[in-house]
Amino acid sequence: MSPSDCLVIWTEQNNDIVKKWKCAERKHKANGQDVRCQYYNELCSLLHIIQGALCDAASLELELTVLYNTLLFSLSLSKFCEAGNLLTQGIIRVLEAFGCQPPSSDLLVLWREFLEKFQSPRLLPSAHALLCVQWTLWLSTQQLDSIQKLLLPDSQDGIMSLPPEIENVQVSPERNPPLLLIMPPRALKELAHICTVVTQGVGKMKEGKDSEAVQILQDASMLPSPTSLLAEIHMRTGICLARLGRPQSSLQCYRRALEMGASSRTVLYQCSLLHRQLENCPAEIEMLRLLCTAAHSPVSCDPSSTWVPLLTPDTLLGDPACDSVFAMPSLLEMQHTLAHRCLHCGRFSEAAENYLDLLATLQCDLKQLVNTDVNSRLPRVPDIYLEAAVTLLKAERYWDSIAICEEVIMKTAELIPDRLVLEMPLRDELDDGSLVPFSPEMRGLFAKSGKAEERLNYVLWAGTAFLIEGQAYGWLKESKGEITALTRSINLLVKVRLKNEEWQHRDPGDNAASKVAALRKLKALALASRGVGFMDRKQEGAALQDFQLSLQASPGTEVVELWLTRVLWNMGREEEATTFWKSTRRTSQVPELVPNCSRNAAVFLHLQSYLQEKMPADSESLKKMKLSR
Amino acid sequence: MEGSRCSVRSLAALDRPIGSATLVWAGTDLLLSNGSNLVLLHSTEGQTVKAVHTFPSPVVCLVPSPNQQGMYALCEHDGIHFIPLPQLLRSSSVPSSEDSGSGSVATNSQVIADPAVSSFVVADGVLVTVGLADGRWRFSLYEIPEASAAQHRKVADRHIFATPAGGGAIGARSQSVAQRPVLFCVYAMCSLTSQPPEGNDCHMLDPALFSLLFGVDSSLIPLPMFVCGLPDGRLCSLPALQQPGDVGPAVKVLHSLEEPIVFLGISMAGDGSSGGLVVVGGFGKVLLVLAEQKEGCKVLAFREWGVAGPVVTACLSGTRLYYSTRSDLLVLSLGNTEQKPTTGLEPASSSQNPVSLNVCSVTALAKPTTASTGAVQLMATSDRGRLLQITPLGGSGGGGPSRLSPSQVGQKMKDLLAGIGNVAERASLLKSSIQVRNTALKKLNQVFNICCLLLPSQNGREGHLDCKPPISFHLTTKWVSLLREESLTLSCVLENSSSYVLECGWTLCIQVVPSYSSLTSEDMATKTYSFPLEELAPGKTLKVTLPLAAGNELRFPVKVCSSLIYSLQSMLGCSELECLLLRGTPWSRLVSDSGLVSLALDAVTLDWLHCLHIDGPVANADGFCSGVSSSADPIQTFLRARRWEQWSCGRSGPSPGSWGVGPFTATLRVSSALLRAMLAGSTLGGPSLCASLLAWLVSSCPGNRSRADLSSPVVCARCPQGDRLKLMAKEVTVEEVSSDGPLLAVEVQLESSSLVSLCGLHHAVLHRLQALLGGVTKATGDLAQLQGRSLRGALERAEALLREIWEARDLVSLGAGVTRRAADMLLHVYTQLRTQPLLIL
Repeated sequence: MSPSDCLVIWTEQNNDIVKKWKCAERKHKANGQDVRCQYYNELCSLLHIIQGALCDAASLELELTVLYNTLLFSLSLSKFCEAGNLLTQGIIRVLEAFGCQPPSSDLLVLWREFLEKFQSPRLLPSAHALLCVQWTLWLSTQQLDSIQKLLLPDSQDGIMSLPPEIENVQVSPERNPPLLLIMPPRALKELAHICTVVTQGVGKMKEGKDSEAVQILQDASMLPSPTSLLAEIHMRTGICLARLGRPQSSLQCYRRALEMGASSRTVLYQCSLLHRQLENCPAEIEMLRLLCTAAHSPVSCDPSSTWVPLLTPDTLLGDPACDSVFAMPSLLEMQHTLAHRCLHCGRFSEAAENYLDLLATLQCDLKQLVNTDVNSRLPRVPDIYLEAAVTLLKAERYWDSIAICEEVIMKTAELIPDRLVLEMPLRDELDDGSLVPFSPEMRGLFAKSGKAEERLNYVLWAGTAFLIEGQAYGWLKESKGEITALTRSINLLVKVRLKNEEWQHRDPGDNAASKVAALRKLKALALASRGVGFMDRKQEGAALQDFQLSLQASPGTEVVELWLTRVLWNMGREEEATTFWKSTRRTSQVPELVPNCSRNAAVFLHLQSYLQEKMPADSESLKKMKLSR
Repeated sequence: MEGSRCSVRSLAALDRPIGSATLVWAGTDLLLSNGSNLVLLHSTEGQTVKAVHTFPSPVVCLVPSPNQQGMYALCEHDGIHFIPLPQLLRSSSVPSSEDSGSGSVATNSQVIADPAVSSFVVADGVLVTVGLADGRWRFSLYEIPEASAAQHRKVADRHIFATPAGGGAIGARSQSVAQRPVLFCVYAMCSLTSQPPEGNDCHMLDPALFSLLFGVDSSLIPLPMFVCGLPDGRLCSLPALQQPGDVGPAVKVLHSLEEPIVFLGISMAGDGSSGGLVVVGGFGKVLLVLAEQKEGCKVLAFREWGVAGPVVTACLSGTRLYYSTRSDLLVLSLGNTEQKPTTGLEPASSSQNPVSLNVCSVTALAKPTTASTGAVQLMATSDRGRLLQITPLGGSGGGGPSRLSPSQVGQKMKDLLAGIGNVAERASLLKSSIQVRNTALKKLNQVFNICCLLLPSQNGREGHLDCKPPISFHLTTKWVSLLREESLTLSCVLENSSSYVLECGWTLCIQVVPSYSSLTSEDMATKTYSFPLEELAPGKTLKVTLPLAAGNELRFPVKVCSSLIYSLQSMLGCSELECLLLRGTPWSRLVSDSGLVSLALDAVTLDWLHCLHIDGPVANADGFCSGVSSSADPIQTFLRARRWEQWSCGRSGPSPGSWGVGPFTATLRVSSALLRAMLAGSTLGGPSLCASLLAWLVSSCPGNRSRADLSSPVVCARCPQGDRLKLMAKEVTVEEVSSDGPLLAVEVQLESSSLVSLCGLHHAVLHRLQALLGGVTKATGDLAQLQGRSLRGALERAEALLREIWEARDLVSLGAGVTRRAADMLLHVYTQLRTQPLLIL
């Protein structure tokens, strides 16, 4: 067999493999790693055979073409190390065949030499094709400076504009038989180009240079690129703009990203964050609602149905999942945020539905629970239950609210001791923030349940649950149930004794102190609510006592003072009522009832609104009171 | 140690076990593995082996799938296989031949490939494995797919560091006992949901104990809690939900038994109600964890027994623990624990001594069953490979739980009696209400007819513009001059062109809602006028006129909503009404506040354009309108205007001069093409686009009916406070917006000497245009030609303004009120916004 026969046979073999691959690609059968691996092996063996022969001018073009095709598959399979070796060896071999010693082991020097030698129009396209592979390889292995040095030796500002000889990658002249390529070098160049720019932009983002990143990414969006990457570019631009305080432009970018079909959850999540920042509550809720819906619908990830090109931006840019930009909260957290925002905005019936959805997830979706990580900002489960109960109360679904409260009560009431004495931690223990149980024998083997702080939590949860239940009965006009529940709540809350009164003066940011404050407010609320209940039953004496105790627990609450005035008036003690009312007006600058630092601020706020809503609007006495101010 | 008799039947003789034997129930059949590659399915009824499955490597753990359709088998150094077992579902009355269903397991039956797994458990659609890898115990949670035989997807991993097992007493003795972790799942009893899936009744833990062990959070979630006993003696729990407050490892160590744990289970307590968690160690330590009443609350209590080890296997029936040392099978009663001291391994009191059953060499025990006679039956395998059925004699059957305590019975009876009372009460109430209902139904029918007529216009009002509604409502504004005081009145016409009579009981309700909310509530409260209808026959009309406000007290825009209202109260008699109000049912609310049928007729927003005095078009567009209307005294008008200006300036802080003197201007730009499309629908398509736009804008001004033929592009008008206003429209070309070249647009310019009037008018015109725009379907294709660059520019301008607003807002929130600077800044933004309008496309 003469060498020229061999060339013909090898060319045919190469072309056969390429045709087979194109055919498989058309039929969507080329997605699996094993399929690609098979092609890679075939091309590798062909390359080995060709490299077995001496390298001369006639076979050079064929050899470079097969090398190019082989390298594409190795890139697709992420075998970067192998690809690097193949490429370097190939170049050295060719250089040696032309009689020049490889100058050094330094890749850059090698490449300069190579490009200098191969200026003939017949070989230049092959050389440029290999250069594109080298570019892609450097990109995949994060060696941006090598790219910069080789491709743009004299350019200062990024890789936006390429030198003309690289910009216009040569197309190989017609020859017979033609040498087929797996992928045109021009397409490879475009992909490498856009990916390089995006990598730069991402680098700037990570360094915190957002305005530079915006510039780069906006320029990148002008370059030809696959839609999925374009969507990602728009999304990243949006994130940068949001960080730069340009929310409207940012929203615009997100919208474009969504149109391009970006991974919608990430974009929606970013939009919701942005809307929260803009205090656009309805839009934020809408975004969160869409997010939750999207999270419920199964992800269509059937690999055979969609066509995946040989080289995707993901292979060059690395896995986007590692990027913190794409981090998403769990479904539970999103559901809770949605429900909580609805409650915050006063959309009670919507909030109620959302809380019920959240509870349903908690009740039966073990997978979602497992997926929630420790860093989530989800409150404790009983707190979620109580928020749900309050929401249902506000949405006038009283029996549902009572059912949820019963559940919390069932789980906590049994665990509350007759007396819970809390001792102020010593000064040097303050940093700990936890309470020390009064009696040391409380420390059991199971640390959590033995802690006094957890027991204080039980009291707060059960007390709040009884309070909500009492208010629900109040709205249902079941006076007996109302008084019973509220009395139980009060009885629970008074079980806690503080050993020293220094609690009052603690920093409100302190966890333990805020709990003690919450306890006091809760007591005041429960007493006032029961007072309202007694008013409904016309038991003014008992009501008077409750309102007075409530004010004692938490002085200065205006609505309770109003109620107290009203009781006095109704009992015929007008003088006293007027005096009291005037005295309260003088000292009206006391803090509000609702403790802001508490996590349950929403719950308290809505529980307090009960007192206002129960106040008869046409109260004669109050009108007179107002006049006398 | 006392002895006890029991009967032992040998059911089958199998191969001698090679490794550790496993025996589990699968329905009424037993799955049996003797440590080799084989798993046998043994039918207890037919006393035959129904199937034999051969696995690629020795089987160390077997679990039937929750839906009883197959089994999971863990093969040593291989992974977990799932094989469907149709035999479980088939009735086993017909003894099948020994070979049926047997065969080696196909390689694709493997659902989890992980050679490190040493134990697993299945619950609630989740499979949990535990295995030792890299010096850590790794717990992996897998999702069980719909098709059980498919590959299971890993959901999460949790880790706990393994303690060195070599040290101490454990290492020395541990050769004699099993080295595998024990996994177990428990549920808390929860009332919100129904009971957990069938077959898990023995996994229910007392809620108080559950809360104490695993925290309240977990007890509120009716999902299984996975508990694991490790060979180093630690008892761990694997919470499904990790709480953010919990710092520390994801796997919690509850306790350390200090010897390898071989068994976990839940026992019934002495009274048969609440259970305790039982942990059995390989060297004979038995721990019972209970929730005990103390100081008014439940606290954890621990009971420990020491029995002679090593314990190979164990099972629980009620309060009895059956356990096997290699030489004997013994039973220990865990009930009646009150007098027992809490700690120490001193000899147990006589009632709690283990009792020997005199059966030797038991290597595996299945869950005990209770026969119909109440006797407990144990299935066991011996180390010679025999399958044994053991029935202890003389002992009670582990204390079958008495269903209800007397107090619970009493409670139940009370509930039932109360229920009966409720039903009787409801029956009598229903009877009387039926009568009321009949009379009300007739009236309701009439109301319903009207409702049906008006329903189509309640939601989709836009879709029915072409056809006139059967009951329609129109309103026009009119200036009335009375005692030198001009006031604006609304004249409203209700026209009944339907075929029904609007009967007595209907009320025409006209609500005037101010859209501002910043002003004080007293002067700008919502006003409602209601006109009870006597009887409005078909074809008749009702005209009402109502005063809106005096000329200088007007605040715009004002929304006028009209509705027809029928009160349901008028259908009910007084006594029924009272009855309903007293009962505290949801009905009471219906009758008291919202017991109304309210049918919206029309809602019109009155704005500045509704109250302008039109002075007519002027020919020259340059001069500011100077003609004085004859209807008002000019001096009076001037004074009024000054007063207004001072009032408004005094409110906002800065002196009147500071904002510069008018005329103030504002502009709006609309694309001509769009405008033409919009106005083509209306009847005002005049000769010139600008003129027709102006004509359309002022068409609703009072007294403008006669002058509807405006043909000039400039209109002068006078607002109620007397300020002059001028509206101009001209056509302009806009560059830079579209890539096709310049775009034709109509620019509406508003000019006034008073800022307040200008604001109102601008607002009104903008709203009119927006409303008009809503009716036109947009050709989105054109948008593609927009130039991104100009849009971006517009956005940036807007953002700059937004930043100014924020600054101003910050200033305001810092200072006590609106400072001069903030006001200036806001005014600047306002004029910027008004004079550099975006083009409406």
